[in-house]
Amino acid sequence: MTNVYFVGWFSDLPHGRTAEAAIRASIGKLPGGEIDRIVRYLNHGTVITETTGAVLYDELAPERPEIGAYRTATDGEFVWPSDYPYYVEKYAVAVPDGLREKAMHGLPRPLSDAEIDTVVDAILA
Amino acid sequence: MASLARGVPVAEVWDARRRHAVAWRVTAMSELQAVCDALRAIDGDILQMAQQLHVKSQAYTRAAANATAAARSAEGEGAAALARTAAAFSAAARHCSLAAQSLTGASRDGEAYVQRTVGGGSAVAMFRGQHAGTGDISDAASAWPGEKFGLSCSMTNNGGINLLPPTDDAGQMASEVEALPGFTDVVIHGNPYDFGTRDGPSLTAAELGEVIDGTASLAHRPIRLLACKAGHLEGGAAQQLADCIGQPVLAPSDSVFLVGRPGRVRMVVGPNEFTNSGHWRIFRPRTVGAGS
Repeated sequence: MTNVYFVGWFSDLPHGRTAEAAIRASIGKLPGGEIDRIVRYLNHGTVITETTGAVLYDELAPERPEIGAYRTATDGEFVWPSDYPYYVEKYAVAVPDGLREKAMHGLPRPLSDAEIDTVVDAILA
Repeated sequence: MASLARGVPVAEVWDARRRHAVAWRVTAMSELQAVCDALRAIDGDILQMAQQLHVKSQAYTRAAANATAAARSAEGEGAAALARTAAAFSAAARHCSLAAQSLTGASRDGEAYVQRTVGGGSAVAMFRGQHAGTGDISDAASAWPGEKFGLSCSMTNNGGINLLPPTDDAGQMASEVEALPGFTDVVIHGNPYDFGTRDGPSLTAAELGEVIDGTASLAHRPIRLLACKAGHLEGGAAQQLADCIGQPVLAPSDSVFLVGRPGRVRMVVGPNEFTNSGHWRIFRPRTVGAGS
């Protein structure tokens, strides 16, 4: 069975997970040449979570501009919130090696129901 | 032109053409009216079929869940066969759900056509008429209060109302959550203070109350609000709505996360979808003068 990894829920974000690293400690950890491909990859994941009103803001900017509606996307292995590509693009925050590697080789493929169910079960476990 | 006018005064030719045009318009309008009447007549059947398909979809979903559970406790070829059965049930559930959505959409398109052509019905009149038990949409035709706030309206799979536009996937996913007996769902974006859509204006609790009171399938019923943080504050959006509509309102204390895919959506209330730490709070209408 494929392992599922959660990335981008930095512990110091309002929607973060306490076990994750702080976003402020993750800034500038990504080589500039990879950012565009990674952002494009992240923006093409399969959306598996919507909300009825949760909005994400740039928590690193003093004026906290709105990033957009909260969503969660996945490629079947990695799972990320919809502000993750924003932070990658604007602040070059850290991206796990496995995800970087995948992003260098194309876009996420569409997932089957069974693959989505596996990720959802991991989220709700 | 010369042959047309030969021996006949020009004025008479034009008058004949005008009469012909008027007669054609009358005939055309009559035919359009007949089409619209037919659409209205079959609209109830379409929605009934949609509801039946939804019930079948739920039954298939339950069957798929049972088969999946059985597969987990089985071994070898038996487990594989049960897994295949679960997948087949799941696919059937999904197809039924999609068919129900398609029928609901056809109904909505038909009503929109009637409205454009002969007037006399808003996009939600069908819900108003049907759920009011009249079966007649013409008397529910006066402007639906949601229109002035730019709201859409579609029926959720459990008989509630989704006020989000079809382009908002949150509304589609929220439309698939399991019903809570005794409450009718209202799907809309929310926060502790007011309501709205992602790209439209915000609505006060009083304005949403006006929409609910003007929608027969919602009026005079306890409401479950699928709206983020609507129940976060003691006297906030949900309490104000309960006061306005005079009915109990069940609302989430935190954000509402809809996790899954069409045919299998689960709901979490919390700061993220990993943390189901929120809860549903009941807000009962306060009588006038209470607490003052």
